Amino acid sequence: MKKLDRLGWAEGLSFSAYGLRIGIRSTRRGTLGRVRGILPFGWKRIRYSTVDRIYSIVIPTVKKNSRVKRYNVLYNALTVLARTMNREDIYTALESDLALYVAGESRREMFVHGAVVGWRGRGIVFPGKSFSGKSTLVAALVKAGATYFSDEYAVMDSKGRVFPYPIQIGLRSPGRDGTLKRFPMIPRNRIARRPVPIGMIVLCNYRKGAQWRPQTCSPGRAALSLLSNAMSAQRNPKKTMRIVQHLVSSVPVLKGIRGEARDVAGNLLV
Amino acid sequence: MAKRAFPRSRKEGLVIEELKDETLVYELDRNKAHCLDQTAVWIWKQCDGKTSVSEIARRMQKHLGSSVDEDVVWVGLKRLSKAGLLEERIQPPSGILEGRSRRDLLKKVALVGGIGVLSILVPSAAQAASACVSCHNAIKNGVSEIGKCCKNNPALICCQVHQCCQPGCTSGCISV
Repeated sequence: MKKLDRLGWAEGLSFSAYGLRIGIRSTRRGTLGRVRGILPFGWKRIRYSTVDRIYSIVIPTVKKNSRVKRYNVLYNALTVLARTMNREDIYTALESDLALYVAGESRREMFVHGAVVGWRGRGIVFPGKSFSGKSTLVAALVKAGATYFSDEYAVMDSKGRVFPYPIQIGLRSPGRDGTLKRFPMIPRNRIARRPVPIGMIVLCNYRKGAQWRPQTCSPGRAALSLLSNAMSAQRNPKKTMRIVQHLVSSVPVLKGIRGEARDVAGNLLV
Repeated sequence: MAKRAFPRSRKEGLVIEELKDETLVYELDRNKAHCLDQTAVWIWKQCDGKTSVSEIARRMQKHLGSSVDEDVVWVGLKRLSKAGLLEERIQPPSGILEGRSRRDLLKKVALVGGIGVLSILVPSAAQAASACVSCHNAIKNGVSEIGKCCKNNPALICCQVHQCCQPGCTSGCISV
């Protein structure tokens, strides 16, 4: 670490997000302007010198006519997260690692992989794995009048509230090299800014042509579904179990196979 | 596999949360979560290492107010044992549960309201996320380069942004 510390750091930033203190430093001035755009939602600048995790971005100075390959490198403490000639890859790797770190280690909140929308002052949470069709469903719900909370994580606390974590919705559609993503625009006034109490948890998967006939799910089964999508369950099982227990005991949970997203949207937003 | 007639429930390394009619149990060492229904929990609580299976069946009969076959307790114990919630794996003695059809057993279990033990393996943060995990999880020397980073782990695919995707993820990924 001392060797890394000796590099000439041009700029640095300490911030807190979800109870974690994180530091990012770079050898090149101007890098942090780009980094600010990929920080976790709700981050706040802090002045502490000690942080829980430090990321170091090393950007080399390229001399003209030099044949030496100079890589951009991203470290988490001493671990190399990425080494690349393309600087954008550094930011992508940083964004991904930051999201995983915050979601897995958050002090108070529980991050569950899933999507959230708001409707009449209550949150509707859709826990689910990737490719379960939750982004399509969220896009349809927002189009039908719901408020957008999140497309990636449902951030919940022990008081039964869900927090906004608005990152851009990414809808996949078949493409030549697997899948392509498109990003529908959401008007600013439809993006949630404050937490709301959770009104309902919906466990659903997409099947073409299926009809939406949800059934009430038992609290125990609902808890297992939440745990199987919880980001912090392994790192902090006590906190996660406490929040899960509170949620499934106080919030109705529906389960079912859904067909087209707009039909479900019409059913849920009544 | 010990053939114990005095089952003992596991106490250490568990996080237990009570729900209305069910109980959630988290195994800290194996990262497994279980959901036990009322009957399973009742049997589990009787497993103190001193009470025999026939005694548990007798107590259960008293508790439910209806006749309970010892086979029912064995079914419950087998399920709890399979979930790792007993100190030692338990195997019914020969003659018990043998020669009975599955349908007969299920009927007996249904008469006590069923014995439910559901288990899941709780994922790590990276497994639960759709985001791909960083290459450093898959490579030896800590250096990540396209096409090289996931060679040590054939289950993962190297993707264009120096990350190793989980199986099933195809967005932006290329094969090694």
